[in-house]
Amino acid sequence: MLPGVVMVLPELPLTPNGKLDRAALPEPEAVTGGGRGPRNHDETVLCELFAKVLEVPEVGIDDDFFALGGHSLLAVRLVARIRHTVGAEVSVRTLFEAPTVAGLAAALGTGRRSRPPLRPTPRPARIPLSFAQRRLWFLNRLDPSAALYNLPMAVRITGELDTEALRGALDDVSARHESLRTVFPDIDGEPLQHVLPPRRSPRAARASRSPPRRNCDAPWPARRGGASTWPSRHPCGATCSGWGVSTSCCWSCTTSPGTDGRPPPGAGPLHGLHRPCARHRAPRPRPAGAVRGLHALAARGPGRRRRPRERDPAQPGRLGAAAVRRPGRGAAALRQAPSRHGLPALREHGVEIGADLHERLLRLARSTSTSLFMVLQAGLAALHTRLGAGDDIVIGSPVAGRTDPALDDLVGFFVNTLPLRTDTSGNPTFTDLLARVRDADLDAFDDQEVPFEQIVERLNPSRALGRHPLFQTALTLQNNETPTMELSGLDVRPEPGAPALGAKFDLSFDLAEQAGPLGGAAGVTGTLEYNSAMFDPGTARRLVERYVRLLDAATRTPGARLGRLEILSGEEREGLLADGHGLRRELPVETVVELFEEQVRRTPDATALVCGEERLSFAALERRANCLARSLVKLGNGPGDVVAVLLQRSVETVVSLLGVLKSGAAYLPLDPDHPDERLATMLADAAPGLVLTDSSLAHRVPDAPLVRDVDAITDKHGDCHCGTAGALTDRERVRPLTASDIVYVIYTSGSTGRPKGVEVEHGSLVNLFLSHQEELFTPVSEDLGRKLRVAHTAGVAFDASWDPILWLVDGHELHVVEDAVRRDPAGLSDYLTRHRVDSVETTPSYARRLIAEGVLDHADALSVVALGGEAVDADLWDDLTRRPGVRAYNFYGPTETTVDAVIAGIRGEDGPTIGRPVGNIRVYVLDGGLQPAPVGALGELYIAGAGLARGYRSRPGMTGERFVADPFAAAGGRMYRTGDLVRWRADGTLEFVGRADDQVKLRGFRIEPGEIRATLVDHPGVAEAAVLVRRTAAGDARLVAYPVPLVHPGPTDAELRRHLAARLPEYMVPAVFVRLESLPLTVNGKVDGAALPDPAEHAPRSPGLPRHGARSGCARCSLRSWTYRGSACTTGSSSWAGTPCSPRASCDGPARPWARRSRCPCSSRTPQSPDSSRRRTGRPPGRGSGGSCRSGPPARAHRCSACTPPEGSPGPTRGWHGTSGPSTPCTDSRPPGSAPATGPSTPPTCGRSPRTTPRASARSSRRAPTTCSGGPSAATSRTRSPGTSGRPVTRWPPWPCWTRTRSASPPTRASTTTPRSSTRCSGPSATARTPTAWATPRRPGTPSPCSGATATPSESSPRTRSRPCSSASTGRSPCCAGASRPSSTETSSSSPRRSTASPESTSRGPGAPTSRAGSTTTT
Amino acid sequence: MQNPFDDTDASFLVLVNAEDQHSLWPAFVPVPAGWVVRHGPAERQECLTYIDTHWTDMRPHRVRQLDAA
Repeated sequence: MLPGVVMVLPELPLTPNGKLDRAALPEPEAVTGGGRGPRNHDETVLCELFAKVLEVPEVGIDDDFFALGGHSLLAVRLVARIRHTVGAEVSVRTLFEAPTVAGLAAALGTGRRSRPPLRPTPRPARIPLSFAQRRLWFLNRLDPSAALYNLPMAVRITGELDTEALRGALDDVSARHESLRTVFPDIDGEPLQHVLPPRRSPRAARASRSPPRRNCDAPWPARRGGASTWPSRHPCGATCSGWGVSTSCCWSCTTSPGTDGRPPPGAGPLHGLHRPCARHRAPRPRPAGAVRGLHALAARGPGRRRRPRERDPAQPGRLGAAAVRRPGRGAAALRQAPSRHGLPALREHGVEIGADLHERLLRLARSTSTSLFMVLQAGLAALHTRLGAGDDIVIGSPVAGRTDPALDDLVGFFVNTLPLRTDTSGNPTFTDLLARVRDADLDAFDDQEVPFEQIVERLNPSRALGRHPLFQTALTLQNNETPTMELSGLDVRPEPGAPALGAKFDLSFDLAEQAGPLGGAAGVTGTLEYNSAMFDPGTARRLVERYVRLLDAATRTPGARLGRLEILSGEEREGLLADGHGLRRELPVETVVELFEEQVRRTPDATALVCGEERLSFAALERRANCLARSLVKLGNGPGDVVAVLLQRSVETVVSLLGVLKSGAAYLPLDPDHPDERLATMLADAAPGLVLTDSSLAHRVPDAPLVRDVDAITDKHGDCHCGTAGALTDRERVRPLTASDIVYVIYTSGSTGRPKGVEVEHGSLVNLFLSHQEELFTPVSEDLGRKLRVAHTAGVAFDASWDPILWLVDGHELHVVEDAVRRDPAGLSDYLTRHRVDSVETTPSYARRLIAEGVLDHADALSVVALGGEAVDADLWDDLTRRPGVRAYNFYGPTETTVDAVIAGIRGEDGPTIGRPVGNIRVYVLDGGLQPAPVGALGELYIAGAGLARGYRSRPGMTGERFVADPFAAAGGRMYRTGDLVRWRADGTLEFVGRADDQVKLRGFRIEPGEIRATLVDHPGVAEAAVLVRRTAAGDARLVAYPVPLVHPGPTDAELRRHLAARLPEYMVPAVFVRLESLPLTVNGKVDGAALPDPAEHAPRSPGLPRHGARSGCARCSLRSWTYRGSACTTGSSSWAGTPCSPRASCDGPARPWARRSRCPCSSRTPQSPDSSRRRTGRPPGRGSGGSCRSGPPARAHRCSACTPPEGSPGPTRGWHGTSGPSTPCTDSRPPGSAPATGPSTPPTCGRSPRTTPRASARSSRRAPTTCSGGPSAATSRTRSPGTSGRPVTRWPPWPCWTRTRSASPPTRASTTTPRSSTRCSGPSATARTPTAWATPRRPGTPSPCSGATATPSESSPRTRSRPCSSASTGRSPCCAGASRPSSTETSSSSPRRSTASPESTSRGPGAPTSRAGSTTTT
Repeated sequence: MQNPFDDTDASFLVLVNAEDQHSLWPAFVPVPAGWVVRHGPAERQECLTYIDTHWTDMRPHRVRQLDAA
């Protein structure tokens, strides 16, 4: 808190009001030398050096270097001079820590060891390039037309210019400085420096007097490309344009390998030469010596040894620029426009920091022992973080590189680029951030001579053409002297407007301090150069505004945390909040039940529901639902209770749903495809009052307290008298049903290993209905002039299944598509066409497959395609936009905000967007400080309003953590934090970017890898594990598990799969297991996902001809062959290693040196591709054939990665090649339990021959479904078949598992009958079955594997006939028989297993000892 | 981008509104209207444990009244 400067004034200046007139206070002069003088030799020398560097008359030993105007660049210069003069090595950090002569002299100590000064050395025959030169040479070779690093300069000369003298002077400068005439030819691809002899400029230059121009802009474009063709031309040139008798414009363009554009301090090359030239005296050329070439040698040769990093590779933390461990996010994350290929264009926007803010910035710098540059850098890093660029910001800053005084008078290119890394994590205060910046920068300054290229090589970031490898934002603070040119007798002024010739970085802040008349702060001005391919002018302007606003806030409250610094104007803020508010709308009714009943009154006879051959009118549906509801009420269920429903897809699914809702209870759907253990977990968690199921599934919930057969308590045959009793009223319910009661509970994946139940209230669903009705149902219906036919294809356990139900509530005809049909793109497409369905909702992935099946290609095609569950890519978006008859929608919404919170009409919007909030929903895009993120900035999406769920059932902590207080709402509102990263687009729609956490969406399923990991670790043989989603080469996402076994080799893949499949849904079972010795960790001790091996990289491949065949043998690339996957730039190959063959190809060409990388993660064997194996053995590699790696866990990983489905193919665990016979790559992954189905004696389950190539198969019929037993789930399901006859019945996975192939093996029943012919039962019906499925002949009376009816339901349905105690037999529904809630003893006596134990139960009559018997006998 | 609710090193509050709904809340952000501080500032886990142990009836206040009627 001590003042830096004390000035004694005669009196304080006062304002007219008598207050202190701060403006009138004189600027402090640099008061130096007032303190103690030097006490010894060191101090004497240091005092002189301080004074020289600071350009002050004298310096006392207690004077603060920075108080006297020192800054980081001067500090670097001082350090260099100390090294040169005193022979001591002092770091910049030391100077910052001891900024006085006294302190520094003490720090010098006795250690006088210093690097040797640069001295001329003999010049070798071939002078190599320095690292920096080499960098620019490479860039030039990459794109010879680019002129990014040319240095244009224009000056306006007023007076009588003697052009001949000027030409002579320029020639003399050129003669003196070799670097101005050095060119860079290459021999055998290796560049070298070649110094051209001094020349005399052609006189033509003198004659180029053009007509007067307003400015100097015109000549530039003509010079842009030419000047940079280094190998052939003199790198430096100048032209004079006449503007009149007394004004000339002289411009030059220097290519930068020759110079860094900085005239040597205090001695501009022309400065000393012009005078003799002006007097027409021939300049006396001086040999420049070999110093320049020497520097290159020093930088590449012996000099490397002295660098600490090079000397001590054990210092992992400090490589050059302070531990840049990976590329910074920087501007890339801020980009606004889709990046385009080609040379990035450059635009500029002015930056203006007022004197007041400048003064505060300086004050803050002083008070925190930092420099102005560091404050500006901290502000820029903070801005990046606030705009969503992450918390590891790397900003590049050029340093002069003139660390040796011997270089001071040289023209040359010594510039190095420092990547300055700023850690903004943890939402620090700005003061704390400054301390971090100071620390990191000082490290960086100390190591500033480590060539940038070495850092890049060491870090090996992925490189791309036109992208800077480490950072995309640069910051330069020109607080050095402004270069001036003096020509005697002439007025010479730099001419602004000479454009830089291309954007080197996406964003480049080039700032300069302005000094007032008395040397005080007069503002910081400069420009923001930006890449116009990535930023539009408005964005650049806002970026600058926000930067200044943030600096302003930071200097006013340096103790505030980054997240709270204001970067928005009040107007912007209001606008953002307004954009996030969906249409406000009154809710006229409280519950969906009322809405449905109204609809029944309007159209009682219209068809409400179609499933298979069964059709129900609204009246019939209402009657059955009412009957069920009354039964449920009589069993004690009502508002506040939960009723679980476990049914195969059928009419009963919808009847049950409506019945439960009418009773007032909440509906909890259970998916029969889920493993028993998961069902049990959900039941234990939700504690439903009742489980509704049927005889085929009752055994799945053995521990549920109360189970009822839905058929037994539903008025299935319309003969129940309650059918005429009308809808339930509140008087019949336990208590009145309100909008605040729960309508359904839906379980989603939970990161802690336990699924969590989301409780949604009636009001939320009503709100969604009204929104959809207004924006979707009514407009489409009015367009078509009728109600629509709507397909219900979603699994019932997913909240997306509510959208079709809402169509039904609006009076449309709902087609509940059976499992076997909905999972088969061809089958579903066929169904949609045959039934002239108008609307379908599905995931984008599945939609692509349906479109490929031609579902949109005919006259009666779909009118509405709604997409949801995963991001829509641009291709699909465009495809749907181009189809005039289709209204396509993109629905976005977590379960926690009631199905759809944000929707987009695909035709109306530009490119993929999730759109705008639905009515009564508010969305916020907030940054790390819970402040609204500006348009274009990445933020996390928060959703509030009418759609908000009540919370997670029985999870207060988790609810309080995700459903949090809404800072923008009055009166205690809540908002849900989605964990989705989005950004506002300029058009007011939201763009989905990704996830903030681990959660993934796979084929529309929401998955928490943490849940899989937790389940995996539950296996006794697994110590720890990681699970993540990776993309295959084909772009398909799949789950990859990385178990660390307790004891190697640990459990097999099959064991792990079985373990997981028994506890998790099929879509959560990883496709690939990669065993690791241990999990790689980040410095923070977290699992380092980036370091986990990618099985795709180890996948076997065909060692066929590389696509880039011509380059495959390039010795320089050290690659034997490149595959078509990946990029050479990500594999450690240096970009210039590839230069001679083609730098462009090496950086943007898709290439990967598989030969280098294709080793197993934990085996030294090089895997072989299945193709190669097949060639050798004549059969597909599989068990016994060796496959890829013949032993050890990685082998399985390889094999399984080979089994990855291609794009759009079914589940992640299924072999797309469908080879599930005895010898397939997939066989290892099948649980042993499925052996009977997969044993050598069993015919292949898949309908395709193992030897059929995928291509050939694709040409063959697409009708024959396969059970895809290559995957574990299908196999596991066989062991858990609902059928109890011992016959293996394939349980169909919940998502398409059909290969579009037909068996090439001998004709079977499966292949001779077209499944399409079976229109009644489109489940895995007899005709659709593969040989294995029918290995056991079907016995009469065996329940059909099809969940729906196979014939006329009332007559021939096995299920109907097999009802051990159906209401049909009693002729009455229990609801009208006064069934009371059974006691627990009744419950325990129920034996669903027995009821389905045998088909013989079909023959049982009324009174059979089942649960239904219990309820029936009470009649 | 670190979500302020996920920062395990930060200091948190437990807020409660009129419906007796609980919310974790980062201490560095001003408390929104309609909420009162029930616990904290404290470590994140402590706040979550507080919510788990004190928010035993997750029904909103309005629903509790309905059920009681």
